[in-house]
Amino acid sequence: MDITDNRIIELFTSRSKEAVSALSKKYEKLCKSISYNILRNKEDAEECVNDTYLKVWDSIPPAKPDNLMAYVCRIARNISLDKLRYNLRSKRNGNTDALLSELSECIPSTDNVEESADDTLKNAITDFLDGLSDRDRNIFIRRYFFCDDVKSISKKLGVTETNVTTILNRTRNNLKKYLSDNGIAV
Amino acid sequence: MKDNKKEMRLMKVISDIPDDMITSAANEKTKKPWYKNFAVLGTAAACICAVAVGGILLAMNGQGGYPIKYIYRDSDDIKTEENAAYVPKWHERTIEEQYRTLRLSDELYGSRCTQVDSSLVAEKIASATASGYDDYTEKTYTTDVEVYSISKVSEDFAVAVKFAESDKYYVYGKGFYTPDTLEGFINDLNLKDNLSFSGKITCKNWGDDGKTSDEVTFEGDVNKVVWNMLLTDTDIPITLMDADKDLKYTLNRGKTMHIGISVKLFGYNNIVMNVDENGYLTTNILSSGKYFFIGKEKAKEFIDYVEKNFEGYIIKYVYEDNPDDKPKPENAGESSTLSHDVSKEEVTIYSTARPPHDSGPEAEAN
Repeated sequence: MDITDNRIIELFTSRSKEAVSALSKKYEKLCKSISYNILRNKEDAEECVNDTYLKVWDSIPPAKPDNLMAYVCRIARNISLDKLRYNLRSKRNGNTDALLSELSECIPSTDNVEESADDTLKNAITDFLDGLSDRDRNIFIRRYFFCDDVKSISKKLGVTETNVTTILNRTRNNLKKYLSDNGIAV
Repeated sequence: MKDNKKEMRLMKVISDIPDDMITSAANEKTKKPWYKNFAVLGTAAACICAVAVGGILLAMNGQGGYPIKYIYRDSDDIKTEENAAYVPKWHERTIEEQYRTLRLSDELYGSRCTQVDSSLVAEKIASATASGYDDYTEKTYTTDVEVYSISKVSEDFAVAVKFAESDKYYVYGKGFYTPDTLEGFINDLNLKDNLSFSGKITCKNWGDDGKTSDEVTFEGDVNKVVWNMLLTDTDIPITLMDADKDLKYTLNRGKTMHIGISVKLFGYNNIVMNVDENGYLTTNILSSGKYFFIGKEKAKEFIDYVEKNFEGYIIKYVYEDNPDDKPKPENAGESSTLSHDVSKEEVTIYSTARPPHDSGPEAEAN
């Protein structure tokens, strides 16, 4: 039986040596998947996952996340994005280029509009996602948070690849419009 | 070489989406055929479709002592979802769908795509410009409009807009409106007149993993109990998510009552007002979440009252295409009506005199 998230947090809080191995046992696969989907490089992904464990070790305590899975995923993702930014300075990455190219479709024109604050943009995206159906939101998050490819999403959620692509297209267009209508620039 | 700065910023911001959305996407399993999974579209929509589609059958052996209502669905239901994928062209939209944004005194209002009766329109407050975006040509259009206040509704929240080429008034609301207190929220939106209830409350037990156990639906005088038990202490200040970083880990955890509501004047249909055992009253009126801490004691009192005094039942869906979904005789307790295959033609069988309904009591609160 899986160790519970609360037990893992207790291990970190008590600075137990077992904390990292317990975290790794439960969430390594998910963290690696996120990192690899972003970086498309096995070594880089492993390095980011190790950095994720270190960051969790450094942050708990004092942090005591109620949702450990989301907490760990977010850290793995941010570390991987930082690594990606570093990598992009010198080389291209086919898969991530496609991901970023898709996201560029969500960005409204910035004519006469100043860049919005992070919080404003974050709230707007949260509100937008909140208004989507469960299925559309999950597909969007699987693509742009977990960075899964269309084929994986299709297989995981039991819908056709065409359907996933259509939903993603529509959602990107609607997000762009939503941001534009609310005067929010990226 | 493109630096992808904006795209990377968007990627970073997406990292901060709420935990429950991440959990929900991560935990979604491979779907069974669609006809087994339509229930996920939500209790409110389900209830409406159920009445339209078929019969309801009651058996008296539900979990926790609650009876089970079997609700019949057919495959035509799914078409409504596919239709939603179509983005209409500019000329196919109505005027309030074309011009979705109104800028008024540096504040942005969005079209709610609803009309307000002229009898509710008060004085003119400004002339302004509404704008709209054509997804297909990627052009932005603007038009001059007259802006009016709506009777008993704060201009800080919503206004009525009249286009030169129309004699109708359309509602535009401020998406980022935030009241100071529960009283402000009730008064600014004139919820006394504008809030209506589906007549149903769904109780869910939310685990830390974001999953729920079997849901129980309750029916009763929701209007009365909400106004008398939840919306009485109106001095409660709004809780801002940014000011309380632990809030997102607290909301809707444990036992939560999801109250089906609508605020039709402002275009909000089949949304919810939640009360959780942690003491929060939350609602997604105005698209974004609004949170008020009413206290654990008050929340528990409400939850206990509903469980004790309302008629509760568990909903199970039966699909014509899938005979496995149909109730088996052993599931039916002593009900003789289930000794044969249940067909869609079989009409509602109730153990009480209460008729099925698709809209709740909307009488004035006591």
